[in-house]
Amino acid sequence: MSEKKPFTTADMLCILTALALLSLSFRPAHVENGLTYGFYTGLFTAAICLVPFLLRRMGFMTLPLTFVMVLETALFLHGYGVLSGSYDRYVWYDFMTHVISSMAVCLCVFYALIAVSQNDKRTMMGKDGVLLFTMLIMTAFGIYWETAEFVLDMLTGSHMQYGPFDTIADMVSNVIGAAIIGIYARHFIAHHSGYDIVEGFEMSGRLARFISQERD
Amino acid sequence: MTGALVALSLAIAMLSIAPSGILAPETSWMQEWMWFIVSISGLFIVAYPNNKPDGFYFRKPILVMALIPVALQAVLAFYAMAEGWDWNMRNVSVALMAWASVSYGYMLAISIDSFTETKLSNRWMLVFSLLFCMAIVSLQMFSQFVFMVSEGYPIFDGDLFLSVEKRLEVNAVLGTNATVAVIVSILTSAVLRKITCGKDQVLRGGAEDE
Repeated sequence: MSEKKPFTTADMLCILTALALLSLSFRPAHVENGLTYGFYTGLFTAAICLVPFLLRRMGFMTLPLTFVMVLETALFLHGYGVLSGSYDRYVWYDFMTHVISSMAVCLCVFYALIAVSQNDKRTMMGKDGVLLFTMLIMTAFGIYWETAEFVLDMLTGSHMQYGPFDTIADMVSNVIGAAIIGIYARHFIAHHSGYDIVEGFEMSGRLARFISQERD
Repeated sequence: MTGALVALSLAIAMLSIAPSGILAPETSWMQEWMWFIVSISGLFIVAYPNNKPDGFYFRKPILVMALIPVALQAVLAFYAMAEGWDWNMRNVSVALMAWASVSYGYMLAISIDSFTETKLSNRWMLVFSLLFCMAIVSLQMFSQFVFMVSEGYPIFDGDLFLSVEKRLEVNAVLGTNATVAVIVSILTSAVLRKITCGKDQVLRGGAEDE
């Protein structure tokens, strides 16, 4: 644990994105005009930007650079969209951030499934199995998300779902993001073995044991 | 048991694509097409392992799990021939569809485990069955959306911005079926979890079981 870790491109990306969002959040226009939603969104996304950096520094795991790049882009675009008003100004902005966010989630699912496939002795998904599960999980994720929004709106009177078109647009963007990552993943696993991918995660022993645990 | 399930699935598939004029006038094409997809998928999923050289039959507990919703849907479809569909019947039909989809998804997971390089623990088979059901539900949501567009519902954010009641009402037309399906799929997979411990003893039988 005391081993000093070198500063990587991914670390730098996390810190720069967080700093950019913080500087946008603390613009006088936001602070003075009491735009609290934008301000707190900026702070929150900046904090999440640092998660890959912290996970690595704490020796928990190293997230792949591709994933970090997509995650940081998604977080920055969301934070920037709220802080700059781009969500309200541009019709396509919401769709774009949804696609990139679903790409980040899809990559996360993809890497997690490879880790499970490598570590769980009773499960061997193979390359096609990992892709199939990734696509199905993304589809299910979209349904669960929209259902949760619908139920919350019904129970609390909140305004999470705008209308049917918005719901379906979210689901379509989810599928597009998953398809883009599916193509990337297909290419990626054709050139890398599952063992090499999981080794690159540098998972802590505790996390590796959690994944490989026999529970059936 | 397999024969009964195949026959019922065929019957539902036929009923599903029967022209709406033959059934009740209010019957819309939307729901029935989804049941058609589920029934036909189920037919292939049930029949596929029997026809492989090193194949197997699904054993009774799993077949019963699939047979019950299909049989209930057959009853519902015949009832609808006389009375027409209403909103509650639609939700019941979607609940049955989710139940059948989870069961078929589980059977498909067993086949994948048996005939491909992918090997799944029982936990992952249950996850797969839920995911399979959600894929069907997503198709159902898209078909529901097309139905809403064709019926002239206000679907754009701008149409619904001023009235909270209208927004909730229109969202309910799209979201209620999916919510019902999500709840039923989770309950069904919990029941499957109960009856499938020690999967090799419970799920796959040889030809002598038939």
